Amino acid sequence: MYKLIQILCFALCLVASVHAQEPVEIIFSQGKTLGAQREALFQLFKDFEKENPNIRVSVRELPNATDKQHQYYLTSLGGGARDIDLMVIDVIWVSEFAHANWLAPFHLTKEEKSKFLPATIKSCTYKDKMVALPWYIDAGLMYYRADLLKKYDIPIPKTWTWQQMQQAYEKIVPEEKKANPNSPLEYGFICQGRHYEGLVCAFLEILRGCGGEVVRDGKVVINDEKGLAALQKIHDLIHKQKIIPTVINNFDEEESRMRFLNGKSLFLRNWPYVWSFVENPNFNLKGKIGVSPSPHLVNEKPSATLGGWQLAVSSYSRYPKEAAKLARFLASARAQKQLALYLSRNPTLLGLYNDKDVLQKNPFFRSLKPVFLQAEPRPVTHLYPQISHVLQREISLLITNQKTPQQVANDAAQEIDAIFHPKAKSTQDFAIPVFYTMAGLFSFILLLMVFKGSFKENITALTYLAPAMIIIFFVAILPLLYALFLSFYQVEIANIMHPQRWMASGLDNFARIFSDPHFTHALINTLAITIVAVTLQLILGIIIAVTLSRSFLGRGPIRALILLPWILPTIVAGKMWLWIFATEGGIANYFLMSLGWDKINWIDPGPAFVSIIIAEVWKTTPFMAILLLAGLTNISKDLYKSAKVDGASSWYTFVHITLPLLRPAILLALLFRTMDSLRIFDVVYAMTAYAESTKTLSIYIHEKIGAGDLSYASALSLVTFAIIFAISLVYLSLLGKKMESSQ
Amino acid sequence: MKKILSKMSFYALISVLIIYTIAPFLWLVISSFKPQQELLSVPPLLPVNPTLDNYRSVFELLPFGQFLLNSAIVATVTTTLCLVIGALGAYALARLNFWWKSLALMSVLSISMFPQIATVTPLFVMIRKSGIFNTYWALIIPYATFALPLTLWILTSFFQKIPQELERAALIDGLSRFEILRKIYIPLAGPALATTGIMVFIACWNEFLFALCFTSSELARTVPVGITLYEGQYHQPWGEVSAASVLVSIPLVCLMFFFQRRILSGLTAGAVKQ
Amino acid sequence: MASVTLQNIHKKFGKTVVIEEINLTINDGEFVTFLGPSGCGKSTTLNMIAGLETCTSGKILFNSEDVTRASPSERDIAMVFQSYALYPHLNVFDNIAFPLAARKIEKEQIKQQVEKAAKRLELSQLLHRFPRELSGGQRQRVALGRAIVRTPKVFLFDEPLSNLDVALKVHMRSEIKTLHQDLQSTMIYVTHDQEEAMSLSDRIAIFNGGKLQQFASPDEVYQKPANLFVATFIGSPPMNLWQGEINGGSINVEGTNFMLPQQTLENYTQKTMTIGIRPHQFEIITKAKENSLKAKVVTNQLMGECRYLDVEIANKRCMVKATADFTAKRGESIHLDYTNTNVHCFDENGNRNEYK
Repeated sequence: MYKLIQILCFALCLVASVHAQEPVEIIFSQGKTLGAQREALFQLFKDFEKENPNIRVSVRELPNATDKQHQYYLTSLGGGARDIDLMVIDVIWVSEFAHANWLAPFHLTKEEKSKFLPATIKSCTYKDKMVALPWYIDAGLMYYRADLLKKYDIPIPKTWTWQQMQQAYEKIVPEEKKANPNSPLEYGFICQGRHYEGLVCAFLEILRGCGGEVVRDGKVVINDEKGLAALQKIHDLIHKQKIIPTVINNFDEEESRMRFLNGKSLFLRNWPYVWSFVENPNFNLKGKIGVSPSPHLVNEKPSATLGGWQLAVSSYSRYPKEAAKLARFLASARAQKQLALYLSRNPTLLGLYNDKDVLQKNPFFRSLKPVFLQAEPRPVTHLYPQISHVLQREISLLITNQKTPQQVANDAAQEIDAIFHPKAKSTQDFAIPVFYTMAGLFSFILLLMVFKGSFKENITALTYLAPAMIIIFFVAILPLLYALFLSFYQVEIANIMHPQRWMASGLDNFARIFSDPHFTHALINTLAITIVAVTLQLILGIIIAVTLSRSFLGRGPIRALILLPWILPTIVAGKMWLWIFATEGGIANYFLMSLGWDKINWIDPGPAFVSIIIAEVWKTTPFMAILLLAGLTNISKDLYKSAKVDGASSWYTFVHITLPLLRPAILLALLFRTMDSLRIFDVVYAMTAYAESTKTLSIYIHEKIGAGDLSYASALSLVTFAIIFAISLVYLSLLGKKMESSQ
Repeated sequence: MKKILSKMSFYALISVLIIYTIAPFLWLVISSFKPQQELLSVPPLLPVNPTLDNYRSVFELLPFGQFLLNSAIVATVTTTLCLVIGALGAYALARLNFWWKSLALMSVLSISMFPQIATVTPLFVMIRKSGIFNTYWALIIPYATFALPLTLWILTSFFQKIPQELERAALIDGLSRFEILRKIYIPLAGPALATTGIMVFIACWNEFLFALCFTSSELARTVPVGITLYEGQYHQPWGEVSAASVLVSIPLVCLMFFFQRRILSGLTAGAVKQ
Repeated sequence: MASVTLQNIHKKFGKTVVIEEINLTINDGEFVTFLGPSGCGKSTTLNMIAGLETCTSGKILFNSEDVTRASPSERDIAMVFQSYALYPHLNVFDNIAFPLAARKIEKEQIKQQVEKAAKRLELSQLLHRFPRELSGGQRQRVALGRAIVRTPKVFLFDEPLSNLDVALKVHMRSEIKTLHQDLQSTMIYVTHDQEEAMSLSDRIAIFNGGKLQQFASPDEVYQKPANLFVATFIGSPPMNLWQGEINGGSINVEGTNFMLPQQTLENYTQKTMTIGIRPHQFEIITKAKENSLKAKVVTNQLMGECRYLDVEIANKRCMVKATADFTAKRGESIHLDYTNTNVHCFDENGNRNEYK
């Protein structure tokens, strides 16, 4: 196998050396584009190649989901990948990546800078250096139902205050219902409220519109007087005035857009892309919908959260000059105009908002300009990912009314403060003594392996297990050791390739775990999911196994059908269940309602837990059933015959013969299922992502890695490992006992 | 009368089980035939204007065939590799006496105990350094490792059930240990190999996180990552996702129909009867 | 063909001693049986000779060649197992051919040799069947065929007949006997069935508790058991035993005197002695005579050609063989006569006290 790899490497080198004679190839990495958009974009690359014959552009396309791209860049750039030259990054990653020294600076003259929207320049600047070029911009907007407002004679202001909206809401919704009982209109204002980054964007606008702020001049201000008042106001809007429904904790951009376009709500906070639906003749919405800056309190100003994508050159790039050239080309007025025309992307260049062609194609841009001019970035710091996680969690708790505004303010402030000012670290270096101990232990075991007992037998065993041992060493043991070392240091993802910059921190990371309420919470969630899911799997597994062990017509195909959930990729299965459990339009609620029950908001803490259990049980029961079915076929048929002769009922036979004899199979299935379930990730990630109510240990670790806190993530992984190890030992000792007694 | 009643309740139970397992999947199948506008509203449950558009766009938008091929290659090679390594190891664990057997077993099992997400970063660095990034090997090697515990467990317990006298006879007949494994154990363990093979194959077929991080182009990406490529920044393409899911499942369902008998016999003890 | 020598063989599993100091030499062409109750170490010894298990200490020689560390295949042996150990995935032909194929012998030659062996064992019609399609006796013959297809130095049999029913057992026993006579090769046969051992062997090695008790011809083992274990293990029903004190020229067991050969006592120094008389070595007499024993009948079992009387002598139950027409009811007294040379004497350690 390794020979093959060598050959492969050799072949790669050959290919590379041939290419060296030809134009340099720049790898441009971005989210996937489809259809006509893709053609327009690729036309730009062709133009660029024509003008620069010595450069060739090759495009690497990533999944569009922002967090998946983030994961990809963290692993790639963290690992020092040299095969990304130019990348398109989210505005909130700029500081983080720049702090990690992953971005090569751009040198723009003052005049060049002045052509861009000021907020975009601000968000691309890190420590007074431009580290990216703004490519296209997004900012939060509010859409409103112009038709209904007109119908009820409500004047449309330039910017909306919450008070005005409240009046409109209280007037229109009941009257619409009265006039037409089937009217879908239900909500006042909806926005993105699911536990993800979109929530922070929407929340920041509302908070700022109420006069609050999270971080100002490097200081946490969410819990000062103004911040607290703003939070209280938001709480009232949701729980007292009810203009914002709690159901928003189910919504991402698309779900909120669809609710709004289906007439569920008067107001919608969303990004500019929604306008393309308004203008789409298929939807027949022209003139029915208006757009304005986001709502605010009477004495405050509207706010728009800045989103958008930047062109950044990787500092690991082999061709930084050529990459920068491509970046400048793509950010140029000419290219941005093309993108505005064909992809409806909002340019970052001020001038294009006055361009005739652009305005003709996108008349809507005229109203966007003032919003973009006011757009405010999210806190510009490389620590933003960690801050975002805190905000997501706390706001979710505010929406579901699990915390008071005061608690939210205090907890958020305290945690964000801790992110800015980490505690003084112990500098005791455990890694080196641990390294020597480990190395000693390993060589000792290795020596013993060969020389203890029968030499020949040991050597034979060693040769047979060698391939397994080698890949286990590289793929499993090394990462474990690596995690062990990381956990003794304070390592950010930026320093991962530079051990000389690691700071020893003794056992601080472990100490932190035991005082971390989120860890305890995640542990309890994980254990709860494991216990409930595995128990259900066991019960269902036994039922399926016992049923299928009988012979009946069509047993073969039915056995195969029962295995179906097992073969659906987990990520797809998770999405499928997410869709089934969608609050509206989801088939689960459809059935509940057709049975005369109330629909359930499946993202609420309780139902979310249930929905994850359902999905997890559905996905993995077949595996359990297979192992148990095999155990059943092991039981001698004579025993059943004799039980029948002895006059035992089938239930008695099941309890006193089947179950005891099935015990080894049950234990084995439980062992593997428990180990997997304690590490549950895919299903939860696909369904509720980082939501607090279903956050498991693996999700928590992933969150910490995503936030760049590798050391803590490593310590968490090790503690998780220890917990699973301990639980497995219990199973193993039970299994061992069983085996001994049966022999 | 009582007999008919019990038979009826038995079939009722089977029907419930089948509905439980396939109803969600059926929903995917139904949805895959719905046009874009109908996707997000129930009722009606069934498509009003059934269409094959979703299937067409699955192939038109992305090289889905390539993803299927990649998945098939990665899963097949991993399965083979895993079975070879697993059979060698399982033979030692089942038949040789060495004092570090429990140590070896424990270290194999501990693979299933460390959170996989924590291994992504270090593995990535190693995969980069070894130059196998964005090749099939970048997935095959980690997959084979993470599938080893189950493989070794099933094969070892199966090998242990092969009568020891067979091995002794073969030793006396002049076979080396390796030849015994190849000529006696492997042919006899056919069912167990089939079972383990299927389990490994499905695990590879389903994996997402490594596939996302260790591959970077359509030449090596597998189906689970491929399906996420249909997503827009805000947009969930249910039509394409459900059509793609149905397409992915078809080959595996066929495999299941074909192998389900073997899967069971592979896990069954005493399969070796003279 | 070879002689097999075991020198000072010891075997331990962990801390438990399984085999303790075994020394024996099996001559070239000899048929030797290892006999003993289960767990006595006979199979372990056979496995060590086969090379399937290692000796903790000691040496194994084939002829004069030291094979202690040699692998089974290097020792050039053939072995027949209790469960036959036929390869389930191979048909009869391939099973018999297996040892030849494993040694990379030419196909044509393999075919010849397999057919010869199959003919010898009347398997020619079954060559294409699989083991699961054969009866127990046929499987046993295939296993034999796999052993005789080569001409190994030593044949080893590990309780090969214990899974067969009685009729087949007797048949296969004579088959093995003729096989040995035809091949004239060294054979080592492990069994717990003394009848098999007596009928087949040139010499029998009797094992108990990991120790070799006696290694001698069947006749000698029967006539002159080396110790109490052999005395009771060989012979059915077993030898009757009494323990008593020496009293002049006889031995006193609870008031009953047994006569002993005079020489026996000449060099004997200990005070007590165990004596034994086999059931068939009593003669039932109608009147008491000098030195005859008085016995009370407890039960009377007809065995067909003879009877076994369960009687009480000197307050101890023992067996006496009688003719089929002998009728004696429970409680009846009878008189038994015996020759003093037929009395086996064992010292306080249970070893045979030989008179020379």
